[in-house]
Amino acid sequence: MSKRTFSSLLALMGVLTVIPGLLGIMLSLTGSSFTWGIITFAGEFVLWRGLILTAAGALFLVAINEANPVQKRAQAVLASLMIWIVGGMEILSVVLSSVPGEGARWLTTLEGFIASYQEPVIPSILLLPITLGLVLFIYLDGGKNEGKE
Amino acid sequence: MKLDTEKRWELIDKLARETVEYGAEKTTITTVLAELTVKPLTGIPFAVAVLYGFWAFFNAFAGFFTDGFFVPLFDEHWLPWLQRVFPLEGSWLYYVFVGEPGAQNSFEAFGILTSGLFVALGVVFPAIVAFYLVITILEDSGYMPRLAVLVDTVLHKIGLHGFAVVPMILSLGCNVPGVASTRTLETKKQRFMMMVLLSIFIPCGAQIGVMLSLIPEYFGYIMLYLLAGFFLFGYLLDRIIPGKSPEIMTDVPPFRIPTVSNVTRKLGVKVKGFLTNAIPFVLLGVGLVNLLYLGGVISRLSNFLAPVITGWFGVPKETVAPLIAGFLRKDLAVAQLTAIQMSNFQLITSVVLISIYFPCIATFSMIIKEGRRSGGVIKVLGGSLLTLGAVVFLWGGLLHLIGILLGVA
Repeated sequence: MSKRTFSSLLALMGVLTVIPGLLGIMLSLTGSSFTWGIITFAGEFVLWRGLILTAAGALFLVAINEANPVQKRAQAVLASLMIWIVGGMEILSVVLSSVPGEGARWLTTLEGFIASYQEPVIPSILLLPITLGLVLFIYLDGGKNEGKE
Repeated sequence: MKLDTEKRWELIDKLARETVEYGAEKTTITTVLAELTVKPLTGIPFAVAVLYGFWAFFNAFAGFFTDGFFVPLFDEHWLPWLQRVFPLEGSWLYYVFVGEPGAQNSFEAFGILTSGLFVALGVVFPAIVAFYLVITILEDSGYMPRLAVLVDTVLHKIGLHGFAVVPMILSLGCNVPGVASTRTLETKKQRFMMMVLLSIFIPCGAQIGVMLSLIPEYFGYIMLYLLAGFFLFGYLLDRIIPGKSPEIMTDVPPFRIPTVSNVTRKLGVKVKGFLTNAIPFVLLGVGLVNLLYLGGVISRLSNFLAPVITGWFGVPKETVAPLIAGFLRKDLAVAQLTAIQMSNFQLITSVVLISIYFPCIATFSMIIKEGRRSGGVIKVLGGSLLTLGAVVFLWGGLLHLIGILLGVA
């Protein structure tokens, strides 16, 4: 992949990450929640998630102007790691809360279990597969040139 | 032969030139990542993400076991069974072991075998496992020293250095290993400061677990107020206490993937320590408070301390009982608070008071033990108690004042 294409990819990732991040911060400061299609900005820690996504998006955007290719790729990996932490913990939370039942029932019903996994989801869950692909590409493609810069 | 600093550095340079060989440095994504996590501009946002992950995991894991399984186990099965089979209903023995005869849940019952077991096993145990699991992974991955480098500048403002973050984080699990680990700090001044600040302002994992379980909506405010107190009183102690706060050099290891065997072994040791040390104290705490209630001691103490408790701190006089229980276990004390009728702001103030009024008995014993290394037991204990007294009245009273100014107290 050419330098220009990779930079464009980082710019796209930056915008896709910064927008929900800023929206999350604004919504949490105004004390409101918002759902659009399959994306939601609700639940605990909206402010923190917003702050982390904004910082991750900023990292993607700053990496565009980074001259050193290894530095550029490492910044993108760091930003992706931040998204993974937020998205990964949300998935863990959904999985763990989908198992127990209510009241005297130990385990939930099959319907209840399936319903736990229905959308809407927080933005970082949607960003998770994209960043996974990005990091895989960075290590497969960028790894060839590591140490040479 | 005595060399001045300049000559010493010249000698070091000469030795290095003759003995050290420099190869070409290989820059990889991993090495750059390692650098990025210690640079403030990139390292601080990443640290925020890591801490977020920490709490989110803590919440999900502890919530899964506590709300998902232990609450139904204790409320739907254990409590009704115990209320049915335990003899002598209405006697003092029943009150001590089972608690209130008509209680609907294990939190409200307040007997040794009901609330005591539920708090220890159902609430605190999952929280402790979650906490130690994350801490072990952070330690073994090599992230902990990076966090130390990141917070070095901030901690220098209060006369400590970056590695003081290790006792701080350990104390978030349990104050006892936190206080023990202060021996890694360089000077007596630093050790004393850290011991006092930890035992007052850093709530243990058990207490955090109970707070997150019972009053999650106020948890952030409480932690923010405690952290502000940590830095403010740290700054003041640094100015008041004589002694040095030297710079340190530290080796930051490369990032590594933690191995399952190491993590499980470390986790096993830490959890075993909790099970053997903490659970007897929780059960003892419930028993003691129940006996004090039955003997009328709590009622008399509440009336005696009412002017200070209600007048200065603005919380109900019934808070005296949890404050006494807090000397044995702070998690237990926070759990007791939720059974008392009070406003939201009074609840926040009460939880802050429980955190800062006195360390639990286990931490107190450790301060006495470690005090020997840090300037003598009497000096350390006297200084700690003096600081404690000042902090409780100033920081607790200030919170009441903030409440009055906001119109919520």
